[in-house]
Amino acid sequence: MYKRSIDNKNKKEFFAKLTEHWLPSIKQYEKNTYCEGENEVWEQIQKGIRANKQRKNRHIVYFIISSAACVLLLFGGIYALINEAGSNKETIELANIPIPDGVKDEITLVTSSHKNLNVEDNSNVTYDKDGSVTVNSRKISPAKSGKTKNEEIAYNQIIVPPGKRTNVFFADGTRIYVNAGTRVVYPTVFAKDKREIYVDGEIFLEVKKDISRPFIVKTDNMNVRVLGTSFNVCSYKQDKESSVVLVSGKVEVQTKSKQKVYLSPDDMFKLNASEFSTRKVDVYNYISWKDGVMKLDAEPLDKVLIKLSRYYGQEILFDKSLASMPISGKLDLRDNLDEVIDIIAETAPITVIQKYNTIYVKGKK
Amino acid sequence: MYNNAQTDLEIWQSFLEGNEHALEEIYRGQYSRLYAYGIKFVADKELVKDCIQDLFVKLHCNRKQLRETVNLNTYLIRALKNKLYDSLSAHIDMQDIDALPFDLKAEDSFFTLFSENDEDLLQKHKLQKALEKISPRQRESIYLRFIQELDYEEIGTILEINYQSAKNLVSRTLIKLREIYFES
Repeated sequence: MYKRSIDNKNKKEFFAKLTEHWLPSIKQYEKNTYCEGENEVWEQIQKGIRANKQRKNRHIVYFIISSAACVLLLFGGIYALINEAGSNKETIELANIPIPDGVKDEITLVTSSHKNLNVEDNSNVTYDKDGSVTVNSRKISPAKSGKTKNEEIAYNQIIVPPGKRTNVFFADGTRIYVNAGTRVVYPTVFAKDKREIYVDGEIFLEVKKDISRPFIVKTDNMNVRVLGTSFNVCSYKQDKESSVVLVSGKVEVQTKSKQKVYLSPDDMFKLNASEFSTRKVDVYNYISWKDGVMKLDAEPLDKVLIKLSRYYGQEILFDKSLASMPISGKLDLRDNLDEVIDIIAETAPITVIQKYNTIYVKGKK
Repeated sequence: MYNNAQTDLEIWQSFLEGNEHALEEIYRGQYSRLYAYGIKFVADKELVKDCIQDLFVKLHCNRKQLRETVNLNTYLIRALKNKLYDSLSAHIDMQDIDALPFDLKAEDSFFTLFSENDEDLLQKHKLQKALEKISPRQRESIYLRFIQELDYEEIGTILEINYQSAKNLVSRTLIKLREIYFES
């Protein structure tokens, strides 16, 4: 008897609190929180509907490059992902294409016929639809094939040593800026259903929209799938941290552990081992290298020096105690390394010593 | 809470007849509850928004093939749930749609925002703890009942069970919640 009356009392109390006290505040909270994005999503829906109408009218799916196509691209993305899961095994792992021997101080283009071509610094490598490539204003046709159709796809790779940079223009209209110390592997002609490249290093991409072929950048610890246009990928094998910075459009990052993150413009995604985070940044700080400028906004000194060392292809040693010193400002990378380091030394409490082709950075006493 | 059933049906039919504004009206009426519901399954806000977007574009494209009478409260929620399951199961191993988690964890700001005093705060944390101890399906049922204010028929449609089972599920969940709440 006694127990039951306690139960009833509890029951009443519980329901009273639930209905009078908590529920209204939870509802209020939900209403305030989840109205976010209503207008933006509606705009996207309208774009999607318009794009669909156009598609119906034209009967041609391939040439919708209008901005409205981004919605479709997104669906395409989701579907392609599902398809991809099944077909993964058939594709050759770009990452497993071996690094050729004899690549040293010059930018090297390794063609499918295993010929190594030297590329001048800051020049362009341009591909045509048939797989022929123009380097240093010279056109090179793809290896003539007495091969059967089932022969494996031909791959090229571009290897940019520290201190150099280059641009690659793919036949689909996509452009990549390749930073120093970077290797990029890609098929001479992209597949019909996707455009896939592998990167060890840093590149900035301006991807041409093609709703029928998603663009995928693979690195050792993540895949970046493009649903929109331009972004920076920084993923050096020897660095602990990888990052993706999105300038415009939309990308999807999938980590090695299969976790998926969508980025919006101005987002910076950082991945360190299996931990990742996303935050808003001033994107220009991360892509200015392509214009020969390094913009820094309280960037730790160790990262700045590692970047400079790669960019100029010169060793820089520094006291570990200085690693986290924040550096801000703008460096002109057309200056030589000595000048650049001197500029840092003018504002930060560091001393620079040069000995036998190596630069030592120490704290000021 | 959100819409009256009669007008819902009118708007739906007007949408099927090709009224351009009807879809927007449906969207405006449903967005926040769809978003709020979707976010319980997956923390990725952008993914939820993308799915809502996809859902409405598809609605428009497939307008001619859609049923004439639908309960908007259950129809869209169910469609969103399927869509979320599709895009998630491509990456995560899941046996079926019931394997989706349903997370009612409120952000910390919720507690501090709506709690007038420490006692209040403590009770809310107790309730939160109790909510964590019941199954995802139980959580979903009481969420649909008390926050989205759906009736048992509607809850049953979403959870794919009949009226009586939905009613039993909700009442048993409440008893369980209360037990856990007073145990601690």
